[in-house]
Amino acid sequence: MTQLGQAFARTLQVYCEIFANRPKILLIDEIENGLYYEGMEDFWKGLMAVLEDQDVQLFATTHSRECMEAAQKAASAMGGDPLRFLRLDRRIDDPGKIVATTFGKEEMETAIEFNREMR
Amino acid sequence: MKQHTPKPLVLCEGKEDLIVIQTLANHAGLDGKLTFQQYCGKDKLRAYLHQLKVSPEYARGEYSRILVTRDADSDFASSWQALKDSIAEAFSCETIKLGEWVKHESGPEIAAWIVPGPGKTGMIETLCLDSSRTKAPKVFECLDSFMACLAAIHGGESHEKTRFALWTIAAQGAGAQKRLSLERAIPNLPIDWDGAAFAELREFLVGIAS
Repeated sequence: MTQLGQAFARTLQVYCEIFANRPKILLIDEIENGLYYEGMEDFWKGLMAVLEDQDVQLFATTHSRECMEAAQKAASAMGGDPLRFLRLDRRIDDPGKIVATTFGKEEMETAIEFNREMR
Repeated sequence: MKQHTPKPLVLCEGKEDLIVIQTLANHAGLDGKLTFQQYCGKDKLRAYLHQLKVSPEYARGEYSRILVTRDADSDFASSWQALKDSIAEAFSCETIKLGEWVKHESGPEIAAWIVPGPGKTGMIETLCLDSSRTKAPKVFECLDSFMACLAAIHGGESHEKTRFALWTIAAQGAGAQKRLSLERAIPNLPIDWDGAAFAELREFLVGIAS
């Protein structure tokens, strides 16, 4: 297994966590770590299918635009509305204030179409 | 680079609208005081506004005000209604009036503007052409007769954008070969940025930054 690279190890680790511990909620920090950008959409497709099948809610953090876009494409391919994005921003007029913004596939699709940054 | 001072945002219907309105703003002394974006046509406005409302710049408070513009085209009333509806749906503000700033929720003030101006039909190209007629009358004599000739051949008037595209080439004389885009052409066009044609839009833009 050590010959198969970080992406395989990462994916296996996440799947083991789901099947072995059977959580209702799974938290993954910087989910894109170890994943090659071209493989992210397939990673998300597989993970979303398992999450739905096992009735697990995932909260994942990322700084990666590719990862967000891959999740969006995977969610669109799955159908339904399995994905919500939540972003934290610091106000420039009040740097002590953090605001949370949620958005879904429609806004993300528009951002991809217009090449707008959503991180 | 992150912006640290909130600025008004001017949303333009297309790339050419953005170039003209930004150049007008610069001539009015607003260089660097406004942010400009384009939403790639009226059919994309609704989706663009929804995305804008959840964008990082909006959440961070980088827009002090938002002006949404679109062309009237051939029907001012229906264009205005469509613009109002798009803004009302995205920002939940029902009381939009042309050229008036409306406060909504906790976000920046929003206003809407129809080009070429209140109650008028046409587009940004109309303003450019109207503002240039007195500065370059011979070019327009030539262009108008050429357009009339084309209309007779084709059995109908050409679109205003066709006239505008031909004019941007013709008005440059020998420099026309360098017209790869309006962005390159516009410094050489005889547009009267201080003239009456642009007065309403110019004054409104100046008012945004004040």
